[in-house]
Amino acid sequence: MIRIVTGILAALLLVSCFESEHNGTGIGPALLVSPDDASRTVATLDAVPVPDATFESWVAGHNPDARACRNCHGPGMTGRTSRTLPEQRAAHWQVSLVHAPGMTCRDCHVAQDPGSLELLGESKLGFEFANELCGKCHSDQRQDWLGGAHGKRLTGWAEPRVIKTCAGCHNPHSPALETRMPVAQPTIAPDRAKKAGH
Amino acid sequence: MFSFFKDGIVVATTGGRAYHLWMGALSLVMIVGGYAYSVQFREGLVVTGMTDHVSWGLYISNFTFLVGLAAAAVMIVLPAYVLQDVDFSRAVLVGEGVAVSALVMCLAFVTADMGGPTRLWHMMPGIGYFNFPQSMLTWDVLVLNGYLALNLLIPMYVLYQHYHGRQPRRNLYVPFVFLSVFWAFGIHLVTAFLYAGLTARPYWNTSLLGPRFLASAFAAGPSFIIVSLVMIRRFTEYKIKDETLHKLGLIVTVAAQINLVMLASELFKEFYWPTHHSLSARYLFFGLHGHNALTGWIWTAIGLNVAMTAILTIHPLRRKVKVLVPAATVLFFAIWIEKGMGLVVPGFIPSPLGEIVEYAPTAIELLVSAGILALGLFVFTVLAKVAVAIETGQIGKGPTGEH
Amino acid sequence: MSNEQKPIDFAGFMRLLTSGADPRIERTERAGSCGSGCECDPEIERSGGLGNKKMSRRASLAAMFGGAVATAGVVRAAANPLEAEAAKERKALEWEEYFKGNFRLMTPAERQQTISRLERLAEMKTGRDVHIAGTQARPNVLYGYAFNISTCRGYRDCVKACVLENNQDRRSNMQYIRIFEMENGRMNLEDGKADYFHDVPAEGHFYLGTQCFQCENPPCVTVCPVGATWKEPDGITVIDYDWCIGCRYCEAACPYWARRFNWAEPVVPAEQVNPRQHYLGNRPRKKGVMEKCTFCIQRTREGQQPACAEACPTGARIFGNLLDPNSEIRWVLANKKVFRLKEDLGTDPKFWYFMD
Repeated sequence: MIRIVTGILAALLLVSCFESEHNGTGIGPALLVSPDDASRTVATLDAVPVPDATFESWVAGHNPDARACRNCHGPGMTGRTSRTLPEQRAAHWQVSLVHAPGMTCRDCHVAQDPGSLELLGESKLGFEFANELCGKCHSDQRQDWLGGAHGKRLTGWAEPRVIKTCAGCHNPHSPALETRMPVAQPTIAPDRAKKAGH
Repeated sequence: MFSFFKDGIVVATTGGRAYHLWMGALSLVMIVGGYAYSVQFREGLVVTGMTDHVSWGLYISNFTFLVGLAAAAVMIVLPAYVLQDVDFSRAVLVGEGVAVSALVMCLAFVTADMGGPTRLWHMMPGIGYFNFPQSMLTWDVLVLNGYLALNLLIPMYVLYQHYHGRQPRRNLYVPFVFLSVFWAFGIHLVTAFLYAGLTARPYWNTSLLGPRFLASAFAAGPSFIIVSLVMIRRFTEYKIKDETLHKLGLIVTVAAQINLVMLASELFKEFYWPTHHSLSARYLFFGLHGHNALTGWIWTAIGLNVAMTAILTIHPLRRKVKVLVPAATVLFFAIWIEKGMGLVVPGFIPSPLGEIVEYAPTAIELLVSAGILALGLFVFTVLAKVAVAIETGQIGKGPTGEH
Repeated sequence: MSNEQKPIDFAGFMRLLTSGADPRIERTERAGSCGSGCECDPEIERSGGLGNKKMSRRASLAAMFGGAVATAGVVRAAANPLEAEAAKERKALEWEEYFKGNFRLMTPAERQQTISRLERLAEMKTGRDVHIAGTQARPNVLYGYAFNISTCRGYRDCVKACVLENNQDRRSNMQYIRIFEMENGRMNLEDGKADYFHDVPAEGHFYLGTQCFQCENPPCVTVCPVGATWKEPDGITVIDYDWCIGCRYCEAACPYWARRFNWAEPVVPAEQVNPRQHYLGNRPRKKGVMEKCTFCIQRTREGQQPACAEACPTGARIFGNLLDPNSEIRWVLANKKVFRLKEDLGTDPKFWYFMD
């Protein structure tokens, strides 16, 4: 029952995300129902930032399946050399890997099947299960995310619970969030004496 | 009854040139204060120096000090009425006059501090909601108004009887005198509890606050009465014996000594091992992170306090009226600083979240405060003048039997 | 019980006195009595009866003085009949508002009446159609909040969202939330800095946000001399802005510096006013009264998150029902190591901090 509800919900979210394609960064949605804890509704929204607007609109306009990376990337991702070969670099010109030290593309991506992810060489996974892949290393965060201590909630406080997936906030290639200027600077000490003067 | 009030009004509105000058000056200050208040009423409390960090300032400081002044009247009420101390009985009416005028000022200061003075009826039981007994402020409302009533009724009864040449009936008024004695302790303790009950403000949240309030009040109040008595003695026919002043001087001295002992114990506690809770005291006495608006004031106050207490402690000096009067005056102002601004403002600095925002009163605040003080002096002068006129037989039949 | 009693009909009084067309009648009736699906707390029902008795005394006061004011208003504004009508209506509404009682003690009908008046007044003043809800607490809900000091990055997006949502005074830059930039290795708020303005997060620092913690044992409520502030059944401490007398005792009593005073008439540009309001929440305040964070009562009672939690881009803010064992907040409390500020004061805040 819960799965059906969340499925419908995710479908709605998916539609709404594609509708708002021109609002800033592109968003590709996905759904996950926690396999560990079926009693808790965990719907998630995957939102990988795609900085290139043309890429985003092309995906949205012509190929609703944003996960089919092979459409752009082509075959032939091969180990550590993949980023050094000219033709590979052309395909990944905007990817710079700033994750854990020593990581390569193949730690996560299946070399011969760019549309899939690889769980530390164990098995192939669709992109919709990217969270499981992240959780292999970041098990604490995964635990917190499933429980409710980590991740950005998108619905109200009551059921259902819809939260962003890992890639909804973190760029998998460079997961650290960027610094930026804060907003709404407070006024600590209003200058009353002066204000009363006039 | 009618002639009692009529004669009273006549006495209050007639007088020499100095009297009219004095009352005229007070009226002028009151008018200016009233105008300043109208500005505050229109614009809001934004015209004061108060902020969300220091949310009480000069008004509540004065209120706190003046509650003490009012409470101190008891120091002569008790011996005069109950112990029938002859020396005090002449001063007691003045003491009660001080209490009444101090209470008038208290109520005016609190009203001036309200954000919504037009909504004060919300506090009235029956048509509003009186959060009693939870809120210490409701206790304060009760005790202040009750004390005001007592201090109006008792002397009014005594004066009324004297006016008609009758001896006031002791069994009629002495029970109220007893009540007012306890009540006086009550008003000042309750006012202290108003602060001491706030765990959010460690500077106030001390069990010593109540006793310290009482000690400083019993130093400042009689000091004021000493000065008033000397004034009355000088400007009217009312005889005040030196002995009365000496007794009052002794009260002032003892209270000032106790106050200093408590100050010392408080300073020891705050600074022997300063904690997080000592930050307000550090701000007050030494400044905090370069903010030190009050350090000059407090050291002045403490310096004067210590010096005057020392002078008053020496018997031959205290017994000279020429020394007693200036010493009492200086002590009065020293306690005003210490207990007014020195108590209220540092409680807010730093804020509970550690932010330091300083406070300085604005011109509007100073003018409103001056206006209220003038109002108090005005009320006191009228009361004292009428009382003296009755007691000296200038109007009515004059007191009989006593002294 | 109080339902049997006929509540005092303010509008009726004023109609008698002003004897003009009353455009509010329709609104009042549309709003009706408490029929709009809200469940009335029996306790409030009980105290409503009390309030009702009090109201009658106030009502007679209003009736005594109301006539004179209304007449004066008519004479003054007679030049333009339309304007005169509006001025008269406004005067009458303001007059009734002045004599109304404490919201906590009002009957459901009285609540609807004041809400209708306030909506009408807001429309007359700003030309905007606002909706003021009087939604009551949901049963079996107690709100709680958890703040992740590991993931807060000090952007202050929450602060901005809060100000916009809650119609806070723009002129004084009033804010309910403070985000403290804290140096790693220190936990003293005195050492924190709230007015930082540089790229965040800064190296070697973490960020800790404060707001009203909605204490289970709130000192601010105890000290209020007129009962203008109280804790609702869902744990939110609210203020009846029209009942507050502005003594600021609560501001001195709050150990978390969560309360704010309107030192001047608050200013919110008409086009920026959030029209979705709650009587105890974000409806515009006036000069001389207190206000505070209400966990966005106008949102949370509709099932939404508070504006701060919704605006937080990092998910550092966890909000939910403490009575629901499946809620995120309960998971955090059960599985993370949490702490609260100044627990030693016995205030029992419903706002916890935790770390990853």
